[in-house]
This record gives sequence, structure tokens and C-alpha cells, in this order.
Amino acid sequence: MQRLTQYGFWGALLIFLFLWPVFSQNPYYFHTGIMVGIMVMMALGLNLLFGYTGQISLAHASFYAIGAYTSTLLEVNTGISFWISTPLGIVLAALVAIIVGLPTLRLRDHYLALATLSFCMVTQLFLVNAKGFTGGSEGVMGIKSPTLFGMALKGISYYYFVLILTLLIFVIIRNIVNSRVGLALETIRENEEAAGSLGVNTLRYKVMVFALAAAFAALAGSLYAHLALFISPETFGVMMSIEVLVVVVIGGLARNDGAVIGAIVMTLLPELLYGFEEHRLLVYGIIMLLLIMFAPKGIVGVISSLRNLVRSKLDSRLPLKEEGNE
Amino acid sequence: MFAQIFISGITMGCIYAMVGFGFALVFNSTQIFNFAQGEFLMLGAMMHYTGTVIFKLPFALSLILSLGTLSLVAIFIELVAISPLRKKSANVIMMVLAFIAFSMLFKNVSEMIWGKYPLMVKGFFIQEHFQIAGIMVQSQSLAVMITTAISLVILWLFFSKTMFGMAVMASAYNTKRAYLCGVSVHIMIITSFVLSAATSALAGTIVGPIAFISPSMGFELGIKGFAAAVVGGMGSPVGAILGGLLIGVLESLLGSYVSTAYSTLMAFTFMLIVLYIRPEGILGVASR
Repeated sequence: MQRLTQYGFWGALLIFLFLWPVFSQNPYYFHTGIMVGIMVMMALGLNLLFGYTGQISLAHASFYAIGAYTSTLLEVNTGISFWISTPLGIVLAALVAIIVGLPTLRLRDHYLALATLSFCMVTQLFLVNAKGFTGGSEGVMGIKSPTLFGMALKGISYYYFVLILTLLIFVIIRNIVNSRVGLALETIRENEEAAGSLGVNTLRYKVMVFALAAAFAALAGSLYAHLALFISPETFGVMMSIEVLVVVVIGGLARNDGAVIGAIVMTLLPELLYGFEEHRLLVYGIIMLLLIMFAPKGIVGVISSLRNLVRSKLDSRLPLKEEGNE
Repeated sequence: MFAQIFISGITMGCIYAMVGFGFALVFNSTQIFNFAQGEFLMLGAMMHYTGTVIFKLPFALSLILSLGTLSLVAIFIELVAISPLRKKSANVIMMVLAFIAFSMLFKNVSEMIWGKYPLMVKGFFIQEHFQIAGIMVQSQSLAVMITTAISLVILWLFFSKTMFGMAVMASAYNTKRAYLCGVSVHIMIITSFVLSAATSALAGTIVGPIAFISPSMGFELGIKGFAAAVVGGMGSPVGAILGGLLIGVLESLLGSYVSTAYSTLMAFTFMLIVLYIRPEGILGVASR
């Protein structure tokens, strides 16, 4: 019964996501929908790294930037198509992640946070200062929408494109989590020494996950660049990394559905708080603090404990123990 | 020329050292990285601005206002977030996230109060420059160095000569044993939070006349303070001071002889290299 309602919810969400463009043609909604998809991709990757494997990273914006800059600079300067430049960006991000990850992922907790934070600062400063190469703080202009079979992907078609890619990444990550690899990753999070002594090559797994998360972030970056059609270093600062981290924590750590819900909430929230754009940080900060203090398992955790509460109240045959409540 | 560059490096180095010191203090007593340390500095500078420019208070009163407010802020954070989280024995990362949340809050609230644009405060002395042996020195540089030296000596005396200071050290060193010896560990943790916030606020008040103050200043100075603490060794406040001076001087030399663009990069690259080669820092003891 529980599984049925759960699948019902996700099925309804999927049908809604595929069908609503039929009823509404507002480009603003498409834009928001695409931004949610981009955020979901980043959050799923970071959740695999942080939620499941326990390795914090504040360098997610760097890989987002690598994806965005590699694809667009290649297109603008050499004229190759989106379909080649984006995979190149993804490969480059994964390579950089492996090179950076090998020394960095030996560090733990705080030190890892600091090292990834400084990597993020270094990339952003590079984007600003390497003017001849990246366009400096003016950014990259003249980006064109990708074309597929002669049709430009923008608006509704771009929305479906991003939606399908997001679903694909969701399925990939879900399969990783449910496989032996996922089990190894969670063991690393719970106790790295124990994982090592059980024959898990911890550094290799951590670097692998880091590279995978970087690859997804790079894809998201390229998709963002081809949505906004203009990129500048400001977008790719530490704040962006923190935003993804907030999405993962708010949704619920080590829950893929949490990453999705977190991304939806955090992307729609500023839109709903229209006029509060200035105080976005304040709202994020308060929400994050409240969740850390009172619901460390995030929105998903709150929902499932509420559901358990309701079920234990409804189920009068059992004595009223607070079992489901943890 | 070189001497002048060196002096300006030492001046900024003193600021990084103060932030790094505060950072190491909280880390020692709670094993948490305070990611809001830079925000403490920013709030300190802002309160000093409010005291001297808006309320037109005399200098000493404004200083007390700034340090006092920040001490209250530190106590607030400790009581509202860190202490409950410690009681629940939450993951360290959760506490780091709490600090990140606080730093977002502070930044936004100060943007609401003081606006986004850079503000100016007057220096400690009326005369802006003076000459020693043919070298032009900003008088505020001197103020920064003297203030840093005095406050660090006071802190050193506090930690090594007074019973209370030694109790703080003891509970940082071994919480359980300190508790068994009758030390109220929670009070000691609050004390180190207060001292850490107050040193950062002091750094904020003295950096104001050199750099512009704005709600976004905390981030960069805070990160350089982390870099100072990490380079020097997290376990050692003396290391944090040396690390800060080292980063300040290197940055200023690179900025003048190579390029200002890369002087900012240097601090982070330097920190990354130290983290990779010697994660316990130059003066630190390996922690296991």
C-alpha cells in the first residue's frame, strides 16, 4: 500500500511534468522548469557524493563552470556543435575532478570542505583573470541554442530535452545507489577504515563518485549556458556551490527523491517570494538552520515521519506506541 | 620600496592572523570550523562604523560597542545552534552547515541594515602618513600592528597565567578530564566563542580605515583567515599568527612584483599545497 501511494505520487508528478506544457505556453514557466531540471542534476550528483558517500564538496560550482565554459568557448571560437562540445566539457570536468580529487579526497570533513572551497575560489578567480581566454568578468556572449535535426532547441523543446536528461541521470544514480557500489559508498560514509578493511578501495570509489558528480554538474553547466545564452564568472562562485549543498540538505541527505524535492523547493521558493529576491540568502539561511536543528533528515524526512504518525494514529488495532516515529 | 611593500604585507598579515587566531580558538575547543568567522569581522567593522560615524561615540566606547555586540552574537550562536547540536551529538558537517547558514544570515541582515555599498571609517590617528628612516608608513598600519601585538599578548597572558584561561585550554585539550576536574566545559566553550568573536571584531575595527567596509568583505578576509590557520596548523594559535603574517607578506610581494590578479589566488593555492603536503600545518601536530 505504501509503495503504491509512493509510485502513485511519482507517476502523477511525471505525467504532470510531461503534460503541463500542453496547457500552458508561458515561456517563464519553461525557464523555471529548465532551471529546476538543471538544479536536480547538480543536486543528484552532490547527493551521491555528500549524502551517500559522506564527502562534502564546495567545488560543485567549478565543475558547473567547466561544463558551461568549455562547451560555449569551443562553440564560439571553433564553431563545432553543441553535441560535440558538451561531451568534451563533461569529459574535461571528469578529468579535472580526478586530478583534483586524488589529493583532495584524502582529506576529511573540515579539511575537505576547505580544500574544495579554495578550489572553487581558484577556478572563479581564474575565470575572472584569464581575460584573453575566458572573456574575463564580461563573460561569454553570442551563445546559440543547440539544434537537433535542423530545429533549434529552445522553449518547449529545450524543456523536454532537459526533462529527459534529468530523468536519465535520476535513473543512473538510482541504479548506482541500489547496486553493490552504492553499498560500498554508504560503508565509506559510515566508517572509512572499516570499509577499507573489508576490501573497498575507498580512495578509488571516492574519486570515482567525485568525477561522476563533476560530470553531471558539467552537463548541467552546459545546459544552463545554452538556456541563458550568456555566462559570466559571477554565476560560478562559492555561493552557487553552497546553494547546491543547501538543496541537498533541505531535501534530505542520502535520498534521491530528497534531491529532487529540494531542487524544486529551492528553485520555486525565490520565484514565489517575488520581491524578496534581495533576501533570498536570509530565507535560505533560516530554512537551513531550522532544518538542521529540528529535522536533520530534510523535507523528505519530515514527510515520512508525518506519514508514519498518521499511519500509527489510523491503525487502531496496534497499541499506540510511537514506533514509526523513530 | 621593498620596505613599504613589506610593511603593508605585515599589516594585512596581522588582520589574517587575528581572524586565523579566532578560528583556531573555536576549532580547538569544539573541533568545528567556524565558517562564519569572516562574518564576525564584518559585523565588528560595521558596528564600529555605526558607533563612530552614526552615533558619533568616542573611539573607546565605539570599540566596546563593537566587541560587546559581537560577544553577544557569539553567545547567541553557541546557545541557539552549536550547543543543542552537540547535545544531540550531530555530525560535524551539520555544525559546519549551521555556520554556513549563519554566515548567509549575517551577510543578508547587514545588507539590509547598512546597504550593499562600501563605507568609510576614519583612522585612529589624525595624521595619515609619517616617515621613519625615509620610508612612508601609513599610520593606520602602525595602529594595526600595535593593536594586534597588544591583543595577542593579553590573550597569551590570559591563557597561560590565569586560572580561567588555563581551564579553557584544559577543556579544549581534553574535555572529559577537564570536566572531571570540575571545569564547567560549556562555560569554557562559550568563553572561547566570545574571545574568538571579539578578536575578529577587533580585526574588523582596525581594518576599516585601510580597506573599505561592506557586507561582502567578511567572505574574503574570513577565507584568508582560514588559510592562515590551516597554513600555520589548526591546533596551534601561534601557528595561525605566523601563517597569517606569511600569507600577508607573500601576497603583498606577489601583488607588487608580479600581478595583483594572482596575489589573491596565491593564498588559496598556498593553502591547498599545505593541505596536500602537510595537512597538520607548518607548526601543527598531526591529529589522529
